[in-house]
Amino acid sequence: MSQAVHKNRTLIAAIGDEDTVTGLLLAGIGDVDAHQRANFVVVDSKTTQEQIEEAFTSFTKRKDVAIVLINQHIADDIRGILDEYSAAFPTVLEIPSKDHPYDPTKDSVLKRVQLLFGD
Amino acid sequence: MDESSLELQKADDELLNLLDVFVEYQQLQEAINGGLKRGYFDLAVAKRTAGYRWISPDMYSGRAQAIATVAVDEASGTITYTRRTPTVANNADKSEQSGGLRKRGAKAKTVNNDEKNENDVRKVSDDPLLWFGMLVPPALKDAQTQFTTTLDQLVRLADLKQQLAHKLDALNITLP
Repeated sequence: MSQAVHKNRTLIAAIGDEDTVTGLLLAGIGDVDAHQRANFVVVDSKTTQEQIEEAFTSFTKRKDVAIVLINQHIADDIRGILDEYSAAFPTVLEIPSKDHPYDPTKDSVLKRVQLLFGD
Repeated sequence: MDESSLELQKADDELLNLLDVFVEYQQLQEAINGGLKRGYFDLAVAKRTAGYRWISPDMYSGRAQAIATVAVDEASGTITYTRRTPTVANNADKSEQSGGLRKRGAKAKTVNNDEKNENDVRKVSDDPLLWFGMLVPPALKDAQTQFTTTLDQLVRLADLKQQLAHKLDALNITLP
């Protein structure tokens, strides 16, 4: 059953601000399925934390999503559920936005490697 | 004694391998940061040229089909980037084909039905660049190129993250 799941995981989902989502859509990730479910969500000033959490939860539960890209400053708004997320797929990647450069100290992989060396 | 030496050697090799992957992860992260920065700049130039109204979520297609996808290897969990060429489909203009409408001045025209139907059939591409109009500013094409390149790198980063997670799990390194 798990092998069949991996075969269906082909999509790259995105949760980001307008520029990030527009850029990624230009790159070709955009997909709207037969049930009108899009694999991208634009977060703006009117988007609530609950809506972001709902988008993240729905993308991570989908069987056709392999990677979830999320702006790091938006990920900070849902850091709690992000830190609790430990599934292998979909893989969650935090990316910088136009106005918020990438902060490596929030990278979970970096934190674990630092732990390895006792930092 | 030999067995323990071999185990230590194996542990050293695994640790070195982990560090190699981690260095590649960091370098790729930096490259991605630079690529996204350039992409955001191109997008800003495009918006300024074409107008913010023409490059906005209002122009997103409700029938988008993914061009850039990934393939997940079942056995190893590796992720590979795949990309298909945007398809071009025929989209017949149904309004021209509707019958029953009285056309004024039709006697002066010699209508060749085959030519008319051929002209009505328009080629439609699913290239997302065309969501923003037929004549897009060059900066938008540059942005598309940049984001496409960066997306490839992001998929590679996701793959490296998987590898690192497996190696760290094997070493039982978890966050408190």
